[in-house]
Amino acid sequence: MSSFNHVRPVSRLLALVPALALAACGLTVAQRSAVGQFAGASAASGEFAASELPHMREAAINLDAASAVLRGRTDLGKLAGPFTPEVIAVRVAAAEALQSYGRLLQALVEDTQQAQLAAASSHFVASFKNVAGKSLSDGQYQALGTAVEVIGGFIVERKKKEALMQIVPQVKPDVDKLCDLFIADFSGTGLQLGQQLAADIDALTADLSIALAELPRSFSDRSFVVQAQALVDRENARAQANSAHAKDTFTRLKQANAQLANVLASETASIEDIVALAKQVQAWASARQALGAK
Amino acid sequence: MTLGEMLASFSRQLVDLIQSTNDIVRKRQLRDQLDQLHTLVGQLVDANVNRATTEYAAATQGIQADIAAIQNAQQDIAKIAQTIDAIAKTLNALEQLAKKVAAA
Repeated sequence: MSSFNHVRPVSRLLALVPALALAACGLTVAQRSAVGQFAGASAASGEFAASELPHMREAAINLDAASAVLRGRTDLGKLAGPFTPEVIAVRVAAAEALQSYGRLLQALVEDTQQAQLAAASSHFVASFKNVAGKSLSDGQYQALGTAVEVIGGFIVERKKKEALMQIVPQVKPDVDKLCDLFIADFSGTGLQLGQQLAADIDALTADLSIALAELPRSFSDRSFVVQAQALVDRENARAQANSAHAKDTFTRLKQANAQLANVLASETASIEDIVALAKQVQAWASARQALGAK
Repeated sequence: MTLGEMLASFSRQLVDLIQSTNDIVRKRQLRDQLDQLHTLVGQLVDANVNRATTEYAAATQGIQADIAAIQNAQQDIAKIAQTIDAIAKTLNALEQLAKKVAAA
């Protein structure tokens, strides 16, 4: 078999690369950016909720315990109120699921399989040499390897896009639901956990006002009142900051989720996407030149 | 104004009254009213928290199913390099076969 006969199929393969690039085009720059923004927002909001919810339970117990001491209450069975371990565990699991989802989306986008594709294409070229005999130049074999790697890369990108286009719209309602639930839970007016914590803070504030009016005489009484006041101040500031932060963070996460779904549904490519595609095309064009293909 | 906002506002107003009066008896009366208000808040919160817990669990289950779908997609993508490798192995096998045929 002449070397001419080998060159032609290989150059045909390389000629297919532009068509594959267009037919199997992957995520656009805007789509990658949307995934990145969503992943960052979901990781941050999930981490926030997972760490603050157990703290809210501790705060509720401490506030209610201080109130019980000041009022001489003996019904100490429900200091945590609605902040039961089960209630907190379900919410922390939800926060962690949000975190995992964002991180996996990011990993899916970042996983280029570059090293695996490079190794596989080298293996492919070595095998091709064996079958075809040493009929191409080293540069031509190198170009063949690049072409196989580039085509593999295009297929990887296409598969990523297909996966995201299927998964993101599917999971969007659940992510939106969790965002709404977390906003309500951290709000001081949502009639959820945050409002119970606000009520506990108000209750202890009222008890402290009465205790101070009765002028505690002993050092230990005065010490307890001062520490309880410090607890109220700390938890009140934290609850208000958390409420504002949760509203902002989970609202942004919902927006990022909507943007992600929209940008994946839209086939409109921006100029940046075209520039990125042009760079990819340039990479295989040099490989094609090495083969002397027209 | 939502019901939650009204109840929170009422609670704050009662606390402000408790703090602003010097009459200890009046303070205690207001504290009792605050208690009644907080009992109502607690009942509403309990009902809502229980419902929300079910909704959290359902949404989490949905996301976890999709997390599994992403992991499947990652495995699928990893197969592309494996496929190229498999083609290379097939080419090698063909080459061995061709040599045997030529030798026979």
